[in-house]
Amino acid sequence: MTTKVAIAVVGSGPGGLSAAARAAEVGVSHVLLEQTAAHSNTIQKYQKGKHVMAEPNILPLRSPMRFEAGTREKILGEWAEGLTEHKVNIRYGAEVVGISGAKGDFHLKLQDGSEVLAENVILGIGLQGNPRRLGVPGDGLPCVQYTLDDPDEYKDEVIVVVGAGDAAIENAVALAKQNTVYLVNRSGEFSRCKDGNLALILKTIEAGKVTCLYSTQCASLTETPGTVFSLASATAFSIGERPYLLALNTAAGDMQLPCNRIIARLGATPPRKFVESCGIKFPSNDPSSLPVLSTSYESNVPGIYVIGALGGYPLIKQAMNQGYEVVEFIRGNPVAPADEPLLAAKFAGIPGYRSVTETLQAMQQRIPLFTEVNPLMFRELLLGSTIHVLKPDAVVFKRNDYTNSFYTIFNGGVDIQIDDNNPAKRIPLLIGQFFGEMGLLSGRRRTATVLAGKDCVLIETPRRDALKLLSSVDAARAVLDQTFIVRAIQSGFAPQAKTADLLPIAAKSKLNRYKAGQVVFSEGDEADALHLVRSGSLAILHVVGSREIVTSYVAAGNYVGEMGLMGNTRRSATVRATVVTETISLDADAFAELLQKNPALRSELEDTVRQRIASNTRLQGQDNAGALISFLLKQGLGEATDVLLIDETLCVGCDNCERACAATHGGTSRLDRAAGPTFANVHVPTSCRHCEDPHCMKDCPPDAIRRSPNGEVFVGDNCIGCGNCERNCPYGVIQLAGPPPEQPSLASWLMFGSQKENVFGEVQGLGRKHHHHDHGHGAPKAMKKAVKCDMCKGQDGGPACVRACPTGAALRVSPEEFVTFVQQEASRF
Amino acid sequence: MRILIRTLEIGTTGVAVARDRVVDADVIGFGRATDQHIHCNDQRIGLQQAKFTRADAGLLLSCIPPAQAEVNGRLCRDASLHVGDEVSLGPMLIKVLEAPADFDAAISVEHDSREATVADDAPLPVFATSLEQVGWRKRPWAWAGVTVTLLLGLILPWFFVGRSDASIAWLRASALPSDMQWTSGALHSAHGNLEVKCEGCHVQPFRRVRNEQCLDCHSSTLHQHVAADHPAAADMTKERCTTCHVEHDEPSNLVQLDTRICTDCHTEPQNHGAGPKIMPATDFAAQHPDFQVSLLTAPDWKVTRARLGESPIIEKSNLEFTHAAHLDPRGIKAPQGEVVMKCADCHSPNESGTSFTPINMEQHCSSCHTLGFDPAEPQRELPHGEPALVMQTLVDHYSRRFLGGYSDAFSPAEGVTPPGASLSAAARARALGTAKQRANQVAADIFERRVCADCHMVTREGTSAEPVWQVAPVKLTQTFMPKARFDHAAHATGEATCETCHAAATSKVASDVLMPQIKVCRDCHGGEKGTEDGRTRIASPCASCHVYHDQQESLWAPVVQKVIRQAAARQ
Amino acid sequence: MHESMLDYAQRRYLKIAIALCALSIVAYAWHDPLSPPNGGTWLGYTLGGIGAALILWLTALGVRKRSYSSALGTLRGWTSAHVYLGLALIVVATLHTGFQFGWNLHTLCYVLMLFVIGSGIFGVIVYLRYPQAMSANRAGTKPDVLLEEINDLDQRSLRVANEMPRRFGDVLRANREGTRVGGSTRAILGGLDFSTINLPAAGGSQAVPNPEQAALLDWLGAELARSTDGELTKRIGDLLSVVATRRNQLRRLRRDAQIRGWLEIWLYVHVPVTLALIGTLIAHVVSVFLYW
Repeated sequence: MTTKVAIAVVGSGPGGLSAAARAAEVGVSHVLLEQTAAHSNTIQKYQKGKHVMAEPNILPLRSPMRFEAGTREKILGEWAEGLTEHKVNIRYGAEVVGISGAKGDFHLKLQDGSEVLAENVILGIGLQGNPRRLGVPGDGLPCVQYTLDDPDEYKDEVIVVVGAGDAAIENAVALAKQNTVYLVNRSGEFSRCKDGNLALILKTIEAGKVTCLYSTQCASLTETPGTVFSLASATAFSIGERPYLLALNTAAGDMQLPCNRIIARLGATPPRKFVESCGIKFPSNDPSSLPVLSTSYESNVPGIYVIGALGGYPLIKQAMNQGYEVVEFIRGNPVAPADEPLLAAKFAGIPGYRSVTETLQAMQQRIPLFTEVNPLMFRELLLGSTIHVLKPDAVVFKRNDYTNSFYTIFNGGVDIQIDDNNPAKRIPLLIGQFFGEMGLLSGRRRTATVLAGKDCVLIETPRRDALKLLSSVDAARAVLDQTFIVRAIQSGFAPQAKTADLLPIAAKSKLNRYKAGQVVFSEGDEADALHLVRSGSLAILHVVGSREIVTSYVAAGNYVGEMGLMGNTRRSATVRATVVTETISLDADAFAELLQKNPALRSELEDTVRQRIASNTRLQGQDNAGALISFLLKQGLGEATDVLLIDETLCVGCDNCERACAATHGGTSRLDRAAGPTFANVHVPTSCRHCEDPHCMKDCPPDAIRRSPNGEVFVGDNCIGCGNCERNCPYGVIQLAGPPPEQPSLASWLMFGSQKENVFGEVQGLGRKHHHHDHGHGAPKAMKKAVKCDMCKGQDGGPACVRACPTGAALRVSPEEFVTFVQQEASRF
Repeated sequence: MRILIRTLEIGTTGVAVARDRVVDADVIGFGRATDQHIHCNDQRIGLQQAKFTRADAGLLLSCIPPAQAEVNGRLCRDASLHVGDEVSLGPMLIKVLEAPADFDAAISVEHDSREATVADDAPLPVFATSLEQVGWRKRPWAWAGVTVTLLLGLILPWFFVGRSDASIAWLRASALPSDMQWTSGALHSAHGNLEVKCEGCHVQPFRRVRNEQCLDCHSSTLHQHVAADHPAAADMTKERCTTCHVEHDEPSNLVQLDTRICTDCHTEPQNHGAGPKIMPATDFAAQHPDFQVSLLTAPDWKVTRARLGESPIIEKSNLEFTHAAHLDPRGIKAPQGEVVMKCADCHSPNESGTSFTPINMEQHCSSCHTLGFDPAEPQRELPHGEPALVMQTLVDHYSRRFLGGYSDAFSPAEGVTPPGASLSAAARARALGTAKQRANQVAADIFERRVCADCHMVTREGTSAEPVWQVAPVKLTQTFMPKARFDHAAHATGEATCETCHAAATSKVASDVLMPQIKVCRDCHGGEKGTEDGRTRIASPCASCHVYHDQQESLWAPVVQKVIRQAAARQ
Repeated sequence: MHESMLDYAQRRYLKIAIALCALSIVAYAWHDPLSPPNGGTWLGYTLGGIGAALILWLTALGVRKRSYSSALGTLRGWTSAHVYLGLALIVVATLHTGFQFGWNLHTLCYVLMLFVIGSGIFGVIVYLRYPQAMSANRAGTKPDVLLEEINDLDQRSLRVANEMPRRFGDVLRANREGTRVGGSTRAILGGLDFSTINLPAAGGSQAVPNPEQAALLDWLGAELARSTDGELTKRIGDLLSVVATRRNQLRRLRRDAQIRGWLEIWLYVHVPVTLALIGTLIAHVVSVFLYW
């Protein structure tokens, strides 16, 4: 009969090791149970020579075990030493199959039938236990693997890595050395990996070593031949050496990818059965959900503690800290978590602040959005966030600001000013509610000004962190969507409408996603819903004869289809997404109810309808105006906030705009005048549109692309030159440029000109390739950085290109002036 | 139709990726525009380059001119396609596939990135299509422009000017551009004939030409407007010659006729140090004081100025004379008998014709006013001189007669010693006494009654035995209006006679001043413009009569007159 | 929004210019110096001063145009002012002369000024006239794209020629080498085509002028007429159409070069003469006071 230990640690991952080591250190009787033959199996399974990171850097390490960023081998070595050094009582090959009993007297049944008695149990079993499977027909084929030990084993293969996590990225990069690698990313960006890895993968993709397929999902996997239909003519893609064919659904359509091997790195599902068998409950059936834990990591079963990945904390350092902390908890001296001081510093300013834990609890209690969030994840969320303690009527942000962080109200409240002309008109938001989600979702200008209310305390969360939260906590997203709808209705056209009244509509409404060019509804359809544009923008067009004439376009935050709802039951126009667009459609009946409840709203609506009709008819008169609009929409004006246009009837092609741009931006022009299409007299040069939801911002690892309060999208100095934005920009207006060649001073230029002009021979003729922004110039080794139009932010007098145009050909047009401009131009050709 | 489009992207690594799309459309577009079904982002491809439509047996390809496609290695615009056909459009190779079930057609669109852009076996020449490429330059020419102009236009002449007269002379002689290019206009003819010497007047660079340079030549003849001690002299000397006499100007005109050079001061003369007597004058017609005349008046002959038209002016010349009598149209007695006199008998123009030669007894009077005294010897005349001389002559005359100095036929009864008779001392004494008596009688007669008294004022002094006569001296004013120029010759035109201006015929006394008043001139002479109150008169700027550099025989008086006449003629 | 430099700000500078002219003329009419009016009277000096200042300021456009970060008004405003005040300069300067001209430096200065202004007027005209023509001719593409297209056509025709008798390939290559666009001022501004081509002739080949691809087309035509083999005839037909397209693209290239030439040429006169004017102006001012 074995003796009872104070602490039984299950799983010798970082957390477990650290816990056991701590126990050993303080002389608590303990046992560390590891199911495999070596400690920290997960790390062992890392690929050879993997560089292990010590994220988050700000967090101090507290553990008897040493740990800092280094190669897998180094770290494992250190831990091995640690084990011996602290005389940790570790049992290898001891797989726990069941835990019974209660605090003080737990029975851990092992694979071999033996039992271990313990007062407390610490589960550090991690998630690697059973990795998430590909889940497509044919994922049983031998070519599918879920781990990668040594990337160098494979050579000259076509390998598809599925997943966007750290593991996937590392594998893909490692394999790319000797193989053709495709990385299949379910989403449009890499939002759940460490910054370091993000930079890494983006660099690799930029270098063309890895082909990344964004928002793509695996459809099926088959052994060739025998795909959808015979590939008689497809011999071109030398199928012979590629025995498997992976079918994918990409944004652009289906695609067939012949390959040798598929490495699925889709994270893992918790060893849920085992955990539940111990009586530990999970909040939802969502396979990704994690057991609910107290702040002392204690599960709903007293005496059983959960740490590490299973506890919601995938990061090594965190896990190790937890291991340390949990032992302390058990020994009955509560230690504050390692990030305590950091948080304490943040919270210090809050009136009536007592302790971090209390504050955190208070936050989760008060703010419904956060209640679901695992406390540890919540801690991290707050590490990223800032706390604002504001005086009444202090401005949080102004209408039309481009800031895109997300706010939650911890105390007091805020007032939202919808209507600048009528400051009295305010929607109060109270404790626990949140705002700024519009910026979060659609990355648009703020639609309203927000003022602090009485003793107001706000939590401001950066976009990235907030998105991370949403992507991992579905509950949060649901809440957010609903609120968005209510807000949209309120700010859109029913400020007085009570949230309560709107909730039913919100409930009935649904979220629609449209690809670019997809039809939302077409002329003559049953008018059954009003669409709120959540992101992207829509074009309104009329079919005249066989041609479609764009008559107007609707930017996000606005709504379309109200005509249909205003009684005439058929759609009077066709609406089509200009870019990838999300709308929320409000059910017609529910809407009708709302109108009944609120006659004032009805009249308001009639107004907007009248305006809409007016502006439509204005343009319908001249169908070349329509042609021009659709041309411009094609050039991305649909999502532009400010675009440079050139009036060909005035442009003498002096390229002064380009020179001005170069001169005011360190010698590299951000615009290419000659390039770009021309329609009628309007030329759209290659230059930034300052999209409302900038593609370039999508995944910028150092978050270097920002939007200034005035709307300019600019690249910060912390650009790491990963080229991601360049790839993301659909208009090709971002380039990676090295340091440009020395420019002669103006005086010396006027006197002696530049090299080119002096050396007669060097003047190039048509036919030799010479481009304005030749990436080549500057030292080849010099670090290239992304450059793009910043609308001459911070220079008085406005954009240099326009200021430098001698003939007035260069214009900057914003959506507001858009229609006017089109009319004027259209009337001239 | 329902068509299946498979795109084969053959990457640089040689790995082909197939995308399958199902398109439902009657027309499948191919081109650069993003809305084309088969989108090819290649600048060489038109926005829409070609389209595929359904044909009974497969597909129909039609290119939009000027585009062309290569169908199975054959160039063409339109072609109907069948399974196995290959169409190369730009960089794309389009193959017609066997349409799978429930498809109308199927095509594969291959784009091989490995395919090197076609090899240039004959490279196109490099075209020089911009002016810069054919050698046009701005900067060199700009440099040339600025340097050449500065060098030749300024630096070169300046350099030589700065050195010696010799060197600049050499430059002027040479073909090189000299400082002659700086002359803004020709010199006036008056100066033109001086050999050109810029430095003659422009002595110091960047200093305006100073009066000294003018005076070098003109000081001898040039007179100042006012005397050096005149209170206004300060103002005058401040003036620069060049203010009025501008050279290198066109039309070149050195004589300054502009009224303002006078009116500037003479509108309010007192403000410019003039004495109280100087009255304001702005324009001959509009505002000009009555004329003043300068009079020589006995006894001390000081010049006094009197304004015409004011209280009658007496000229005391001590002469007894009446124009009226002399100009009696009925004529007057003269030794030769009755004569009708004209002004010109006495007033004869001087050589310039502007004025007249002075009047004198010998020339102008003696032909009538003879000085005979002895009827017995009428041809004997008295000298026109001092009274003493006259007495002497008389005494001599009668002494000789009574001493028998003459051999004429006087009766001895008169006690006249016959010629040749020898007289006793007593008789001589008696004879002399008588002679003396006789001389006194005659003297009294001619001085007080006949000859002298006709024109002169004579007073008698001394004892009755030894009387002495005094004749008041006579002075005639030669120039009544010295401050103005008047040219009689110029006025002797048309029906104008002396009488027109001088009322001589009615003047009974010598004390009359026959100078015309301003109104007389104004009958013909207007102001500066010459046109006042509707009438056009002769334009008469100040300079018509006055000269700034005031002097009778001023060097330029004639010049001025000439210019005036020209000006008038121009009018 | 379409607002040419002339309409800038409701033609503010046109108004200013007119005002300036009117003012100068009135002053000149009212001014009545002792001696005939010339640059030496006070009005003369004033007008001269204004004129000189204007000239220097007008020249400063060249500097302003390149001081890109300057927030001193928009370049369009400057250009607008440049044009109108430049025209006003004619009046000011002419009155400054007092209509006294001669064979001297001062008149040279005046003449140069008129020349500069004249070239400027020409410039304004072309700036207003040609851009439209240019974009019409370009029709959305760029010269180097046109060139690529021509390359493409050539490759295509060469590929066709590969399956034809050797002379075709040779002629096509010769044509490619002989093609000329621009090359000389005359060619550019006149839009002239000095292309040549080496055509096979009795005993070797001889170069003949090939404007508008005419020679080549003739040659191909002749070949077509001579050809009896149906296959060959088809191919020649293909070539003919390619060459025709090629001719059109070349035409567009030349037209483009021509327009750009005219848009630029005047500046090559305007700028250097301006500098010459500046030199003369300095000489004029200095000399006038040197011999004051």
